[in-house]
Amino acid sequence: MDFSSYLDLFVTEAREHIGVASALAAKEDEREAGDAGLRELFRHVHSVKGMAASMGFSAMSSLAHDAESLMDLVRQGRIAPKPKTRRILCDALACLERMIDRAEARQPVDDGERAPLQESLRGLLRGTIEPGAAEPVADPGGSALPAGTRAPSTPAGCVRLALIVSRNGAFPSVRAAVVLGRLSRLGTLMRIDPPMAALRTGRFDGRLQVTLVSDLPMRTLAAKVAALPEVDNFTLVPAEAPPEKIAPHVSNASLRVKADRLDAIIEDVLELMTAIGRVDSGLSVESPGSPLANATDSARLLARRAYDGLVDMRLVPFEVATHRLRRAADELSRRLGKPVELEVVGEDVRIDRSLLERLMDPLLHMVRNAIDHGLESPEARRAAGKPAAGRVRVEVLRQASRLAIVVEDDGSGLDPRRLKQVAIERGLLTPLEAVRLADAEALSLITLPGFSTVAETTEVSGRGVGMDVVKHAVEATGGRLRIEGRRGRGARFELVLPPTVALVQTYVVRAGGVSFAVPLAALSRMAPMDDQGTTWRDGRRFWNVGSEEVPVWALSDVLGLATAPQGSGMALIATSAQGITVGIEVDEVVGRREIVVRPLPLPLSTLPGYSGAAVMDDGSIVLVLDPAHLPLS
Amino acid sequence: MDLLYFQIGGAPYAIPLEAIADVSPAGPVHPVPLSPPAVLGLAERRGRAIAVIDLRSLLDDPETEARGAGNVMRLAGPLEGAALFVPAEVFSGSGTPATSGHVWIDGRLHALLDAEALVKRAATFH
Repeated sequence: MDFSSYLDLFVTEAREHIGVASALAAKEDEREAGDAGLRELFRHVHSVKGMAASMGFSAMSSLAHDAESLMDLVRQGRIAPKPKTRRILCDALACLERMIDRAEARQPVDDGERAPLQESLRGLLRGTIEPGAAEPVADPGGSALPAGTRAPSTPAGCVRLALIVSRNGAFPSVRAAVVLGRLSRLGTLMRIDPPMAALRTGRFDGRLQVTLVSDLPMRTLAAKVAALPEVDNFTLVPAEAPPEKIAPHVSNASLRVKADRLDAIIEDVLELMTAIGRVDSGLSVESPGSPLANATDSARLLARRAYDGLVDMRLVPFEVATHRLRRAADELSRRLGKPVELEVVGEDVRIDRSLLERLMDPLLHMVRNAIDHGLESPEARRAAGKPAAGRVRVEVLRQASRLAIVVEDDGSGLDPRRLKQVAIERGLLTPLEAVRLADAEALSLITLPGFSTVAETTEVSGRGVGMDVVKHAVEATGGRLRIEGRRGRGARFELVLPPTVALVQTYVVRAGGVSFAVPLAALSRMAPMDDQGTTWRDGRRFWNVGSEEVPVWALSDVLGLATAPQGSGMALIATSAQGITVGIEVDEVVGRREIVVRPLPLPLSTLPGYSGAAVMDDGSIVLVLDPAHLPLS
Repeated sequence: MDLLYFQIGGAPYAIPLEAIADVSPAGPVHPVPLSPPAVLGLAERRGRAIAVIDLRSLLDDPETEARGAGNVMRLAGPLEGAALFVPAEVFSGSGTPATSGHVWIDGRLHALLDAEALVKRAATFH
């Protein structure tokens, strides 16, 4: 591994620690400093310090060290947890996070903000402790053990192995875990020093002593240890079996795996599941209880369990994103002089890590938007009989196979008439279209490209992300954006997301004799159609659902398939990319299926109307529809 | 250079071996509504859907005879996922460069196909 692959690992791991630390620091704001919380906070900052030091980022490790010292003194009661102390601590965490960002961008990590911040931090420290005591602890150089010694040819039995884990690069504790994993294949690990718990906290200087019971001859054992690339140096001597109980198995060690490697394994397991499904469908003539059928059943269950376990590894609690939302809200609240209460509900809901990464900017944008455009000034709020402080609420919901994130505020809401007016001014809508557009649909106008002016997006988001980009980002994950809001009553944005990226819940439908899959998350509802409920106007068919009149297209017409009699099928109700509620009629809904959706390959990758294709258990192919982008005309 | 070569409409064509991941007899192809006409549809290979491009329609072969048995030539590298439908008879051999866009194989001039250009053309061809 070269430096850059360590750097990626460092960035991911350090960001995670800072994320949790910032969330904890924010909690300390709310209740009085809890000792356990502080210890936990300390541990995360300590990890960042160690990791930064091993990467050679001395400014980062020095700042982390001072932050750590401050926490230590608070914990000892030598510094009071005053708001100022907390603020400096939070600033230090924010500064560390910016340094991580720069490390990721391959820029020098230090900047002008770090030095003055660290100065004030040290000022606090100086008030209580002796000068010099807060200097970073130098990394002690490991004293080399004698080189690999003689290797007796007798069966090894119980041996004592002292080794030095390679100091080439970062994360010696990760490599130690790898070494222990490999050693456990050579025999039974009886004792590990330092213990696993210490390895996990990152307090590890590279020296490891292991007591191992092995059936291999001493010579073979020595050769195997010598061949481990992670081991720099070792000694191997016979030992007496220790009386103490067997050390916990190495599987307790946590290993950090790059997401793309995990994804590659997930892909393989998915293919395995498909392959098993095909064996299964070939077995239909076998009697259900036959040994082969039973073995296939077991294989399917095991593959499914492996898949669920692997996917679970990709999940992180929403909490890791909370502090960034809070910080964005705080910054904007201060800048605009609008007091804001940000409430986050469902922080413990676990979300696919890559999904959360893709949604981070859209979420930040929506929170900033809510504060800037949604919430009124304190004066206007008081005049409207609302509390002066505006409320922004982010809620993460997981119900069965559905995952949703809601961002809502109690501000001025969305005014359909005003939105229509702006859309006309910007040439996105003709006055006639505006009249015809239902109020609920007018809310989606804000997701049209070009609805927000450039001046607005840069001022509001600072990142040039408009609501059209938010909508696009959500749809790119296979989800959709729902907007609700009434004038004066606040606005509500709901991101309806697929539960996992790869395995998607779909309805399998048929139209014109062809099967298609439609993701559940892409539909708002589904209902049988009948002739009485439909009317024709201007050559277009409309379906009356309650008080709504929804334009309906037959899927077989849209896709140029053999036409089935209209008006007797099922209507899939979805929202088009233009924000209009549309009905898509199919001949029948065959059933619900969970399928592995992959994007369409070249040269079809840009074909609108599809979100991908899936290979079914019997090897047949089904196209996955993207109702929002079907070319309806 | 190592090549695969075949005839379409009586004309000889060759494609560099390095551009090809594998060649196998064509199985069922699932049509994709609204796709460009040069794309026959999707075929299953190792649990994945690959897009099958009809080479004959891209090469403006005027013959309209029915597409019989053939091979699917899966492209390699960045074009992974795309495949060419080629005749049942495909040969491998080595050739020497001739005038631009052509190679000599066994004393006969073959038009050299560019996989990337073919895929691009298939996406825009109507």
